[in-house]
Amino acid sequence: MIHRTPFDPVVTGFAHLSCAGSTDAEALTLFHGKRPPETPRPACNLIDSAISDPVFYLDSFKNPPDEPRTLAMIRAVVARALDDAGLTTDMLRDFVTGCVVGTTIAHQFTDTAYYARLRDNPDTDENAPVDRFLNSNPAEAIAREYGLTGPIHTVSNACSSGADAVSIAALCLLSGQCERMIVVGADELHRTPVAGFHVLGVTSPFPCRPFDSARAGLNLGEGAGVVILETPECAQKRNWKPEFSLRGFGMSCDASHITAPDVTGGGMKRAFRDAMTRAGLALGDIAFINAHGTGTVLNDQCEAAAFAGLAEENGLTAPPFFSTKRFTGHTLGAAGTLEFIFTMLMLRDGFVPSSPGCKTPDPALACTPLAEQLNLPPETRFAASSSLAFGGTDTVLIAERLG
Amino acid sequence: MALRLTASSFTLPRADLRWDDDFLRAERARLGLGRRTDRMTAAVLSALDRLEGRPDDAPLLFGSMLGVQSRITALQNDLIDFPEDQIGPVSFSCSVHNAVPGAAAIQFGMKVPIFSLAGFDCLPDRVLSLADAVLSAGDTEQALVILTEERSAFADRAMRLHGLEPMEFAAVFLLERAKDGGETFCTPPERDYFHWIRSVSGF
Repeated sequence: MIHRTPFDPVVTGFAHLSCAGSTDAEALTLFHGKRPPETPRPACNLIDSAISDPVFYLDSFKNPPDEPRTLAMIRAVVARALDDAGLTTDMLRDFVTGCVVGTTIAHQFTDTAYYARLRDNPDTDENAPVDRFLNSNPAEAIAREYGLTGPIHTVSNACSSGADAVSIAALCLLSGQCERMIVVGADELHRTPVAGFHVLGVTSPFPCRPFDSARAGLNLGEGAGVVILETPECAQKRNWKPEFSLRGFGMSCDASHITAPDVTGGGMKRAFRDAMTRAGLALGDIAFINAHGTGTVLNDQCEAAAFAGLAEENGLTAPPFFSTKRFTGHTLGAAGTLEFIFTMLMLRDGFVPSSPGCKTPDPALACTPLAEQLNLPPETRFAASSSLAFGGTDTVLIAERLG
Repeated sequence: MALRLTASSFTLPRADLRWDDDFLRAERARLGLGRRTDRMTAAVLSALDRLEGRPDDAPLLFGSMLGVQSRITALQNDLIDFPEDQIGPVSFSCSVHNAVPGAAAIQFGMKVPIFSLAGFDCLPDRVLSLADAVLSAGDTEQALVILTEERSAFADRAMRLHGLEPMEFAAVFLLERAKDGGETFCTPPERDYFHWIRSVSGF
């Protein structure tokens, strides 16, 4: 039985890196239409892949050759988020601090060349790649780097990993296990998911168009988002005035299919209801939903059915919803964290973009996405971000802009 | 941590520390699983099915250091042997870390939160710690923890480098929050993961 949480973890800082930009200002100019979104480019020209599907690759980010790209992105963005939260390394030891990383790639050994050598010679004495892998688990690496003593988790719930990392961090804070959590969602573009999504037939040869009748699938992308969550007491003790809180979170599972979402939106509705109960809010309080919106037919049907169904239960129309995937691509394990951050940026900015890439909403959807950009009333406080994943996972996060 | 173990179930290996494939084949048939259900999924679903008092509303916490090795190896073999646009879609979709708990949710109709954890430093501690957090939040009375590993050429090497004798197992623990003191369920201080699994399963 879900209850209203005894307190709301507060967001004391965040940072992001994706093709939407690496600063709040860069992301906001994109959301306002003051610069066009990037045009995704063929994967085969950018990473070690033969697939030509267009992807959103971060040219601007150069990782050291001896460091996994995802871990390098995480380390860079964690440092910026801590700075945004006014935290130094020493201060991390004043309160029990943990770390949770959501990722789909960084915890797996994906060195295909090594697999080939091991298959050809099972007795090879070459262990260095495996040794490096055992020492590069991202949450454990961040814990070592900052000397963290709180809970350390690497969660891999496929495409909802980043949102689930936020939920796990909240559970750790609410249970009293720690007072502060560094929450990360991150993934690099890698040939394994590029090939995998291609053979599943869900990638678009064009820039993605979530919720549009002419959609052709998703574009993969890469990035990292980091949120610093603290107990209100922890922030108060260091005289830090947070601007946002994680007001609610909900997780569920469709239990219907390993790759396809439940197009009736049943799991998403359960996750939404749980998030609203934890938040002590009603659907009418939610100003907008930053949807998962990958641009696949089944994703769009699932989310639209969930939002329409929730609205019907409450005698309302569905909250305005849209997807930011046209700005970033589908960044897999990073998506849930990045989109929670974008949701907070929009609450701060008082502005919501129309669903980019959606020109003619699919008439078959149970409800339609935001057609025009929306200026939010100054008193707007609450907005939601939703995520779906392989395995049937559904996650909803509710952000609150504090007064 | 203040966890109480209410039930457990295991799919344990033979003396060679590998699952018995004849047993897994029989379990696939008994549970109505597809003939191509991978070994780890079959072992976990078998253990879950045999768990006394298995609830259908308890959150699922899944922990595996190395994941579904048969699927991951098949995917890597496809990438070695074939053009990338001809790899097996099932090898990809079923190699993701949360595929096993996702399959468990489908098999037993569990519309519950799923937490799929990976990592090497004290993984069972981490999973039990998260179970404690989930139960402490007060939204649920019980939590189901699944710990499992599967062997492969790569996994054997990784386990040995991590100081563990390679071994296959699927362990399922039904946990509650311990009240009023009493015996609590936790991993031993020496943190020898596989030794602990042997100890709690009676292997």
